Amino acid sequence: MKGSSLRLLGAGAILLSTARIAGAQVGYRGTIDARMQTLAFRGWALDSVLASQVAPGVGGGLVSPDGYAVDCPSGSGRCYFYRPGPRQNVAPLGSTVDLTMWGLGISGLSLHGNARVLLNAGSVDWVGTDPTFQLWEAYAEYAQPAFAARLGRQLFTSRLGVAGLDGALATIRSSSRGLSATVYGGFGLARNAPVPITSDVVNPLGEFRPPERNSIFGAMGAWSSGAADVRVDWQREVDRAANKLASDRLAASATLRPAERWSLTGGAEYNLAEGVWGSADASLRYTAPWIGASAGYRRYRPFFDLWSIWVAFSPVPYNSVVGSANLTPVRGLQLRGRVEYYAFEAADAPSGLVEVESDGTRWSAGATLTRLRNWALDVGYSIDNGVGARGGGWDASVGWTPTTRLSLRGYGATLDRPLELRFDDTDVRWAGLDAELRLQRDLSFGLGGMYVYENHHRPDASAFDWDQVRITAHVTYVLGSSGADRLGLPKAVERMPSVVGTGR
Amino acid sequence: MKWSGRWLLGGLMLAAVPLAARVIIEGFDHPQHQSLFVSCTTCHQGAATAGAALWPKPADCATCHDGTVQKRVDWTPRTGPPPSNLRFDHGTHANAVRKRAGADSTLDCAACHSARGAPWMTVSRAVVQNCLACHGIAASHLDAPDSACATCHVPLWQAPAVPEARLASWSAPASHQAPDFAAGGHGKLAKGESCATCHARDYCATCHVNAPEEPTIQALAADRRSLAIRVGTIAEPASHRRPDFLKRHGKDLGGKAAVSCTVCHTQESCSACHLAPPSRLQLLPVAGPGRAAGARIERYRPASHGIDFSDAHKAPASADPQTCAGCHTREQCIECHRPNAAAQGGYHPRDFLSRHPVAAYSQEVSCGSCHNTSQFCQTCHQQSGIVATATLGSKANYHDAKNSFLLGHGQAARQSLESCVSCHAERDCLTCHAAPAVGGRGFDPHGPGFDANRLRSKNSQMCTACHGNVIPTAP
Repeated sequence: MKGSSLRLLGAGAILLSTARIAGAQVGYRGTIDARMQTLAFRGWALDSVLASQVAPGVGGGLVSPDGYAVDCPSGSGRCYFYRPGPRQNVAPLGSTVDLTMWGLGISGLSLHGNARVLLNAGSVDWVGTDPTFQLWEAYAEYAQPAFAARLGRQLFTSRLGVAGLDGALATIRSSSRGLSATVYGGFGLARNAPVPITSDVVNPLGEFRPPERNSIFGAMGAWSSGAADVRVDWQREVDRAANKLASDRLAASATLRPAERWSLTGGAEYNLAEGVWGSADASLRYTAPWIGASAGYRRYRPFFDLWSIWVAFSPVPYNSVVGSANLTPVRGLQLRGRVEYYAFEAADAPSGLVEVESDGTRWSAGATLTRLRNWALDVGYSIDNGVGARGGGWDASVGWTPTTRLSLRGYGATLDRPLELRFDDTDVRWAGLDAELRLQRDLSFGLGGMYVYENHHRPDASAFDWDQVRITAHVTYVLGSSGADRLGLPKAVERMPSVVGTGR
Repeated sequence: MKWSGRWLLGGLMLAAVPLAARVIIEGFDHPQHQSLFVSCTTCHQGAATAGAALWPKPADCATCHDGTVQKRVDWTPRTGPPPSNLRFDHGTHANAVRKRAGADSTLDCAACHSARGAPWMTVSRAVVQNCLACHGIAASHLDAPDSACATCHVPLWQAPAVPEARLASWSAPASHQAPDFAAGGHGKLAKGESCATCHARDYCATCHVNAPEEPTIQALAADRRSLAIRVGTIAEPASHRRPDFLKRHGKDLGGKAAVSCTVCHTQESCSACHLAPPSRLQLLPVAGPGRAAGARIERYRPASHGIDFSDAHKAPASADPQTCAGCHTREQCIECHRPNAAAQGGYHPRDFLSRHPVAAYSQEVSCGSCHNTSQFCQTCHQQSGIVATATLGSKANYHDAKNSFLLGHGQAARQSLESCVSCHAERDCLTCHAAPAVGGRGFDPHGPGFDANRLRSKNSQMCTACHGNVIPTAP
């Protein structure tokens, strides 16, 4: 796969060169982005002592000679405990290339590619850096007003998630009626990974998995008008080795605009294989220049493939009500707030031995001030009284943009994070500074540094403090055959060219 | 008489001494000389006689200003066309005035160059109000109808001697101050020659993207000097302030209003937002040499993208991805939905490494929407020692905040199964939950909503993991 991907990219480069030589009107837009970060983390290391070495500690529980709370399985002869793990340094370095080419001699034909190379200079691997070369997309698209088709590696997005496939996709549409229909099929990639499910990369614990790549296919129908957008998705994955279903799901999404400034959006998923409803949401939103507010319902139920055993463990969903609002009382000042209450449905797993919460709240509030020229101040506070954990703290930042080319941003935050399912009350404080320099319109650099102080509170010797400095850097270069459509999202405002005066 | 004349001349000279500093270089101090001349044509013969010079020769001034009697002056009569855009010929006007006032140059010239009742030789450039009065225009200069400009003025291109600095100093007529004049009102007036009095094609093309295709503009001559007149700030049209404008403007472009779009917008101004340009874009002109840049569109966050939109965009993005594609590329979607291991931040707030246990436990958002959880979570948890490595119960109890967690973990597992599997492999659970026939302890994991028959019919392979080949039939 790696070799074929490289060959595909090479072919694209050759095609681009050839077309230019031949004088074809080849257009292209691309982004080359290189990023790196350094950070460290510190987990836990399993250790043990002889059962004869432990003794009751201050709280009455057994502790090791050096003060760690221990667990002594009956008949083992040894007692086990977790001590703070070693410092793990990671320094991932990644470069992403995104390229789109058109004007290849056939009107409507374009080539698309998105690939990433990831290296790790740290002491251990960092998540997501394996495999080193990751080809996310490489497809050819032929598009006309009423018809479009793609062939190659592509990501298909829908309410059911982002599905990767090596295959084909075709769409027919009527712009005047707002109708479209899409079908697709091919060999699937592992969920949210650039490799098939057969790769060791996506199965680090050696779990059950299909020995062959799944096949994936689906269909989509949509209708869009000024008053409403509606879409229905169906997607099925088949375990080819067992010739059984891996997943079979249906989803519907809709946006209704019943009146000016009002919109109602929502959707739901139904698991055809399990016969249960999945995640769903509905939100009523009001947007005006000085105020925005929404109220909604949300339901979340995790989804698992049928080839894993997790479906049989009957994960239960939670239902929540959510409200949010933002207010601009004066120009340059925005206040915001959000609150959510959620409760899990009955798990039907009673136990008098362990009490587990089944509901929680999340809320946040903040303010952003942009009244001062070139300055932006932001402060926020949030709390998550969750199930299994609780987190809360302040976030604040100060941004300064002295020129259109340079922006600086200082920030700091606090986090208090007790965990319900283990003795570990952590408080974390961090502060940092980011600088962004746009050397040219299409070339920018970024550099940032952050100091993190972390303190783990425990009633035994596993408590520890430690700090670290994290560095981030990036270089982004945007290239293209014309300038207007290749730059990123700029800031607001619509106005005429900078010809000012009083009409004298 | 002779002596009295000399004394008079001497007196004038003495009087002139303290005013020596007033020696005019670029003009002539007429009142200072009012006692010396009895006729305008003494110096300005050309005002009355065709073919004669309009200005005196330097030698005429040197008659007195010889350095002895009077200080020398630096005077060079202007040559070439006048630095004015007046539609004016002295001879024609002089004849007309002469018929009315007689052959008296003092009266003829004063008719235009002096205010009514002004002392002799208190003159200036032609008094505009006098022009208007004669031509029957009953308004002050700048209040005159736009159609009247051409009465007294030639088009700018016919006045090549008017310098840019003078052009820039001209005041705009009152009509140009109307609120809607810049946005559209001027187009209704721009039919005759009057606009050309001050403007040329280049000026119009400053704003009008469609200038090359607009006949009214093309009818004007080209003249770069017209750019000296600065354009006022032009506000967006009222239609652009409609709440549904962003949603509807594509339809407007496809309709009758398309022509008005082309006044200010090039295809490039659409590309500023539409990364996937719509086909209707072809209706607009392409930016390039000879064409104005037009309205500069800078993207902004739509009102619908509220504070929690990153978490709430699933429904609208699913319902109509084409709307998203107006501003966002697939690359941007991938950037968030395919996290870059080398990048910090992005969708998640800073130091999400510290924050993520809370978000993951409570399933604030679906981790699986962007992460391959078995890869992403387990890889790191393995390296951190936060992973089950052997049969449950034989090692330390990681969940030491809950006594006997193993015996009562069912509720936590069903509520946060995704969190469980970030550390636990399937074999950890099968130790107890598999059927005794395959080495388990027979603890039934099936909970609410479990449809055994349905799942067996869909994929019985999953059942065999716990039940072996003897899959029980549900009642």
